[in-house]
Amino acid sequence: MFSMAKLYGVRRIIPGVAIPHPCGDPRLSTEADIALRRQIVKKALDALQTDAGDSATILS
Amino acid sequence: MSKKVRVMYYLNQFFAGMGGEDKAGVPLKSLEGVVGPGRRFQALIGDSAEIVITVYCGDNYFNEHRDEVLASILKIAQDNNVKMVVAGPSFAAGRYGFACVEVCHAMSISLGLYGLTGLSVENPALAQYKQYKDMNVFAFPTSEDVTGMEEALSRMASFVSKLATGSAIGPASDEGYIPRGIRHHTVVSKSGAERAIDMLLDKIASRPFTTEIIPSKAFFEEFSAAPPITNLKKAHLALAATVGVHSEGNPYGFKAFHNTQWQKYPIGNLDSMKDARWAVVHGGLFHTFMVDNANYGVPLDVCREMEREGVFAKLNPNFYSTTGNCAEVAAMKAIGREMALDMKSEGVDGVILVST
Repeated sequence: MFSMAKLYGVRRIIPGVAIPHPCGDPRLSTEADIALRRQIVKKALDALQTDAGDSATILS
Repeated sequence: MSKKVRVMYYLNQFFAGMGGEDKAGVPLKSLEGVVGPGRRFQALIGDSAEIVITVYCGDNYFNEHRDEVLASILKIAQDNNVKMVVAGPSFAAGRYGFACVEVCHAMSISLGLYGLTGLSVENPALAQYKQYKDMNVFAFPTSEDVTGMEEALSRMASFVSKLATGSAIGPASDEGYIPRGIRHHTVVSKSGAERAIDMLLDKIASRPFTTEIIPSKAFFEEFSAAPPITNLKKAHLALAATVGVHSEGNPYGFKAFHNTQWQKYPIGNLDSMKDARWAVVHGGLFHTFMVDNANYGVPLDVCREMEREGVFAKLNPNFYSTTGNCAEVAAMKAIGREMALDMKSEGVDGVILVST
């Protein structure tokens, strides 16, 4: 529910795949699922290294 | 006398009788007539209005396809010549409440329809309602759970009858809807100075009085973003989650709703969440995926990989966990503060928090 996080003013938000499985997608093969999870975590690490400012919300 | 007002009723998959969390992914569907709470609602509104169409959507589907669903609902509302939308009530259910507020607001701004819903004051969607300040949308306070259905429907139904007959709508305090923070001009007999003195005298005498100041920002606390990590290769990172992953057997007794506690669990010897057994305790989502593979909520497998590759220096040997479902804002603020202090004491530079 990243729209909720945005509403509450969170600055660094990475949209997940779905509510019951935010970090990955069980419909994919194991390899593709892990690759997707890594991609999500990579985006989170990029966000941690970005100046989020005082009002901007990062969505990637 | 006058024609009945044509009403659209919005429900989630559960109240439409489709099923629980396992059906939270069902797409939008519409059907003529009344279903679930709509039946009782129709009985309560009597002759003033008529539910001509019911639309329902899975809570997850709505949240993941919001614009698409709203566009479809708009089309259905137009095709059925609807004049009013009733959604919910959603009680403390966040995803459902969010969908109800979004549907009401979207129909108000695109078609000028009245929107009516019900939610508990702890529903996170309340913030959305207050932010929209939509003149046409009214949310009525409900109990935390479905036990207050009859009362919620009665309140909403009598208000529909009022809207349907075109009666003037008074302030929240008179009508019983949750205040939206909208100020209306009105003429009163006493000047501001006189009213202020009256209030002061009431206050001194410990009599009840009503302030004319609207408390704002109660839900939105200003906070600033943490500075960025400048050297990730030297950073000590931690994982945290509100998805409800806890030690097997849930030894600390986490509840599926309304938690006021948190824990940290050791993962220092694990390469993946699959290397240990976990309990998923969360009343707001379908557990199967997370039970099969807790890396969906705590992405330890890929973080361990990245740690080994030197992408960052160190992954904290514990992950931080609570269950964030239907939680009170004050309790979660305290949990957040305690977690952050603990992370600081462990030398953590940055955190990835997974929520649902």
